[in-house]
Amino acid sequence: MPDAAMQMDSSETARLVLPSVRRRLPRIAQQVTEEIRTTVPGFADSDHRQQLVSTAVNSAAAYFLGSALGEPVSSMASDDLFRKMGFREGGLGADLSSLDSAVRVAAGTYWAEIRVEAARLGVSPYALEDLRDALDVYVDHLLAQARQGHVAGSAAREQDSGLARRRLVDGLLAGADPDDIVAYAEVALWPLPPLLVVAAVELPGGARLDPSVLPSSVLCRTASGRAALITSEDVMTDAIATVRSQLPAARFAVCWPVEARDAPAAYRWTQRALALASKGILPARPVLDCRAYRTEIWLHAEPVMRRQLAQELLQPLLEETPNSREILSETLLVWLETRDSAPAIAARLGVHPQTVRYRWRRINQLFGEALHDPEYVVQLTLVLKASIALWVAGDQSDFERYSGRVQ
Amino acid sequence: MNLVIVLIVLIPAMVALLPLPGWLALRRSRQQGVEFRDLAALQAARGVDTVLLDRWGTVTTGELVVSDIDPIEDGNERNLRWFAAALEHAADDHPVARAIARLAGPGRLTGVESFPGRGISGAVDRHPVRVGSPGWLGMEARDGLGKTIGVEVDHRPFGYLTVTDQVRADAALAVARLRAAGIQPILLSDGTALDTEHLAQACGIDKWLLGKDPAHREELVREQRGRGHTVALVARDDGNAAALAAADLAFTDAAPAVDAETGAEAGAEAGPVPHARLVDLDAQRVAHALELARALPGVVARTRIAGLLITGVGALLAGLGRLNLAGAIGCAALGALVVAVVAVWSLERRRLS
Repeated sequence: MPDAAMQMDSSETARLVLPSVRRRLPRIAQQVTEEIRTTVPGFADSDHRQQLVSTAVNSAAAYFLGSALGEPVSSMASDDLFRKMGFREGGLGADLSSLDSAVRVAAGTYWAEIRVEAARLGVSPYALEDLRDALDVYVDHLLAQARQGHVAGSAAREQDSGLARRRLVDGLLAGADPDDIVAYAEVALWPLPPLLVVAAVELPGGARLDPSVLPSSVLCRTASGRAALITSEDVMTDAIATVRSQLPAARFAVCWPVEARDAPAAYRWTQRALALASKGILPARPVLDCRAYRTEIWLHAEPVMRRQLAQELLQPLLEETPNSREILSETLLVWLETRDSAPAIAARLGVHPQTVRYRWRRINQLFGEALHDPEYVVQLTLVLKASIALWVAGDQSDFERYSGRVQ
Repeated sequence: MNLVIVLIVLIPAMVALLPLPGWLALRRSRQQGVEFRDLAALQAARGVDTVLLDRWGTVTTGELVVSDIDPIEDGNERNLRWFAAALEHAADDHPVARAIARLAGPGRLTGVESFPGRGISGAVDRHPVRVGSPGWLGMEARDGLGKTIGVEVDHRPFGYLTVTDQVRADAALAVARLRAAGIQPILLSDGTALDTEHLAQACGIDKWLLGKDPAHREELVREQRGRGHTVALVARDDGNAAALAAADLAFTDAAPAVDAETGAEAGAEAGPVPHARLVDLDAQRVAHALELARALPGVVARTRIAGLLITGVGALLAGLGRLNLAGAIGCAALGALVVAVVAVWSLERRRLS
């Protein structure tokens, strides 16, 4: 924002006229939006575009009024909005004429309101000249921001379309601003579905996925030995089949459908699922459905808390051998989850019912009355669900560390 | 003509002289599960006055049975039965293993390993289990009747099982029959003195001998014979071949080996010991066979007397000229029939008595 221009507006006229204009800003904003919609070609049939320009223009108006009244306001937000609009227009291959017209329509509407208010207050039109100059300077400044964004958007468009898709993937996985995501998606000509499915891919031997084998509806970010896929739920299955036909040893972790804003979290979950599978905590299946392992993915996000809970709640198992801990824990977890009879639990575990009765007797000897405490049972269930696979995979550090500490 | 008639009326006497009772007795004995090798073996049985009954299969069923289940912790009896039995299903075929395995059905086993003379180890549904001698398991040894087996589960002493002989329900009756026939029953055992004495008492046997190895058993048989007894030995062929060969009569369970080339029984010439093969070694069968052998002379005498009487009547009638050819044939047929009926009746009467 040109400070020199605004310094002139810190005048008696501004303080007299502008506060009442600002009070009516919401109504004027509606009027501006309507004016733009009806008079500027290209904004009539695009709600999203119209909404963007209205937001930007009204944000800029609020800044202009505040600045003219000498208040400490920042122009960064409105400048950024105009750059984004310019980037979007450039990315779509449009020129800035529509945006330019819209800004000028808006400026004209606001100025008319200022003039009406000045007349009502008996302020001479000549006294408004400095304010008028400041507004013109500010409009030029905003259009310059838009041009700056337009240059970047046009450049992006002229480059390889893969880059636009890459920017979109990066934006989705990094949690970029939703408006940016929409703009990126439009530039990349990728229809943004209401719900996305994110998959993390582990590729054998540092292999690299060839994105060209995938349909255009699948966004792909690939690196040596790994990749990320984003698409809609109905396309993901085919996308995985395509990648597996190219790289049969590839391993996938597929998240359940999420909104675009949750894509970074979904990507994190899928990466964690792959990491857990590589440690043997989750089964080494070619395609891991994260929905089936939510508890494990959740609790392993806090490994220290999981370990501390395990050490605290499973103290009765400390004296048992690793083998005994494992089988007693498995049986206890199945009982906590199902509350079934011994034959039913035996069938689930693939053992004899008398073995289950023996284990249950041992469990009761070890845990005693604690199993009647609901809070203990809830925590125990979660810890066992997250930890048993860890122990089965050979990681006994939960108990080693604990025994070292108590000694 | 008269000569022909006389010869015809002599037929019943000739029939009576045939070893018809012996054949019938062999057949009867076979029906009772005792197959004497030949008539000579049956006749040899007549003189038997001492029967050595091997522990396995004679007064016992030949199997052991778990007589006591003693878990270290109260309430673990079913668990003790389950883990021990599940593991013993994988053990070598042995009476102790069979007795324990009968306590429960088979389970999911892994890492099974046998330790001859000590026991067996393995995992039942992933629980480490060892079953064997208490000393091997580091458990306290126990004295008393039967064989005590220790059981360890999850590396912890879990309990004890005691296996003892499964005495036949009618063992005492069989012993009483032998004794009533004037035959002395002696129990021959490879077990401990305490177990053997207990088993002997349970069956009503006064005398028992311990013979663990084959040579000792043979010696015991010879010792009885040396005292002037006619000794029958009832024992499994397996491990008792020498002792059986040393007896006056051998009752055993094995079929005589057959020479593949000649079809003759191997050792038939070399082994002069009369023997009988039993479907099992049940002392009741032995008592029955010996009773039959002892009754045989009476049956033979009655049959011959009947044959001579019929023949005498026929000869008298022929001498008086009261018989024509048809009458002589009828008299001979009737006489032969009477001889046969007397033989069968005599055997049946013995059986009914």
